[in-house]
Amino acid sequence: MTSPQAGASITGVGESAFTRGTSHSELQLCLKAARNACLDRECPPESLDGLVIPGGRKFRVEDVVTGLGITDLRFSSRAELGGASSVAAIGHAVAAIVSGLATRVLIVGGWRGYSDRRLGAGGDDLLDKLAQAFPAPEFRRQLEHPYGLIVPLQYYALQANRWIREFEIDLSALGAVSLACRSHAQLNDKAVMKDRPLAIEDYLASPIVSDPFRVLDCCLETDGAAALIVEESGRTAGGIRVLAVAEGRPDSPDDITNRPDMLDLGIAKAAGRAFDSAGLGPEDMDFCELYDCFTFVVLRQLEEMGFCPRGESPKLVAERGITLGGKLPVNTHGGLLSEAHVLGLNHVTEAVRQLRGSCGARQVDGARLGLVTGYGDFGDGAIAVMGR
Amino acid sequence: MPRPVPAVDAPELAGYWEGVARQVLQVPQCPSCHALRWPPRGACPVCGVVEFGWAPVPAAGTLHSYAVVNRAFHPAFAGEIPYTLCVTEVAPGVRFLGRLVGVADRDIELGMPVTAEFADAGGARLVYWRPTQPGG
Ligand SMILES: [Zn+2]
Repeated sequence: MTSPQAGASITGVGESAFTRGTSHSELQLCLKAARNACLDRECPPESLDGLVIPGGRKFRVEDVVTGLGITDLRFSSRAELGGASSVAAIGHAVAAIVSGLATRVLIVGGWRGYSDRRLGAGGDDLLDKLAQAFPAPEFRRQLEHPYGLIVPLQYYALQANRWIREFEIDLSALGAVSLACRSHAQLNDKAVMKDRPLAIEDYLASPIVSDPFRVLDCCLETDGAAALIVEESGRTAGGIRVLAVAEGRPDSPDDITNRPDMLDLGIAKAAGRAFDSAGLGPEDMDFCELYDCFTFVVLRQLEEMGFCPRGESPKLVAERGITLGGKLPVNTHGGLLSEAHVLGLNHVTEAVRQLRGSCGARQVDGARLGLVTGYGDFGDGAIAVMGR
Repeated sequence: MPRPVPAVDAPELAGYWEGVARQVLQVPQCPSCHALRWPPRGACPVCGVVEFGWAPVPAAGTLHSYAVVNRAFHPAFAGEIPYTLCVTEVAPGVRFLGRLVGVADRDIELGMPVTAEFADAGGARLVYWRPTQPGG
């Protein structure tokens, strides 16, 4: 039996500029990205008949309909898994296509991550914003904020210390992820960190924010948007097939403190489903675009997806090599760490271009199969396996 | 800027903070199957009962994890840097987020016994966890 998910392809990709500082609203950035995806697809924006908005955005479906001049939107939905929403949204789009609810689905997301939301900027409403950005905001306000547990990095430090202690982790692997992303950004004109190469000495000199994490373990805060168009496979030459897509949640998805296995991640469930559905495994992937809000999250996803046993990602990274030219290129565009934080949609546009063979200096030779992940909230995960 | 304080009128968590004010740790318990419901959810995930009572849990447990915070993300905590967050397990399935005190970073061990202390900070009584003294 063929997987129904084999029936849809990504046929257009586009972005706005990626910047630190913008005069445009979130919606305007998204409309620019959507128009660019339509140009890439060579289709008029009014021909879009489906829309999926990844979670937490400020604009509404109607704003996109009117902003693009869409005349007959037949399907709309929102994916709500924090940073995993962008990849989970592909699942919504594929479902709409294969069920016949829509024929040409736009996924668009973006934000003023630098201009609106910088965590370092403080402000009276910072705590409310942070609580509302997570599941179960009352737990955040009532049980965590009074103790000074506020930002994602701190939650991940609680998980990281269990991981480090239990598996005697070699922390140089965190630096390896940071450096790999930065080196790839040198080959990407859109990357905010182009022309700012990084050496291990720079990484080690980077201040500790919450042990073991340094400033250079954290993603960028940028303004920008990206968009995808999903259609039935075969409607146009050059579409990139979505071989499988899945989302998953860890146990106790609203609370890390009481998660039975504090290291449990939703991507473990999602990846198992996706690989089974595609009839493929980690060893088949020519590259991986992994959600990298923090270096730690890249390593942990590799483990929970089955690239290696838990605790062995540092060894995997050292032995196989995650920079271009290595056996397992990761985040070939520079990722959220060094290209831009576009909610992980930029990981999908990069994967599509890698599979088209249009990445120029950063092209993975002969790339035929790749995967993209999303990671959000307290460990929700999503994965798309794609191929040409 | 003032420290964020728990809102004691939040219904499902009020009993927890009311206990902390009396230096007692208590969590919601299902009146039907007696499962502890922590943190509080909309219904008992075991049997579906939405009502709940309160059950005391030990004010001592073991260190499940920790995080040393070196940078304040809210001005209220700027004067406390560095501080150490901790997760303490006091009963099967019941863990609390709190502050770890009385131990140097290099001496922190997962699984070490810790005991609750109650102290006031910025207008709220909070729970601090200190390594349990031998015989204490
Ligand atoms: Zn019950």
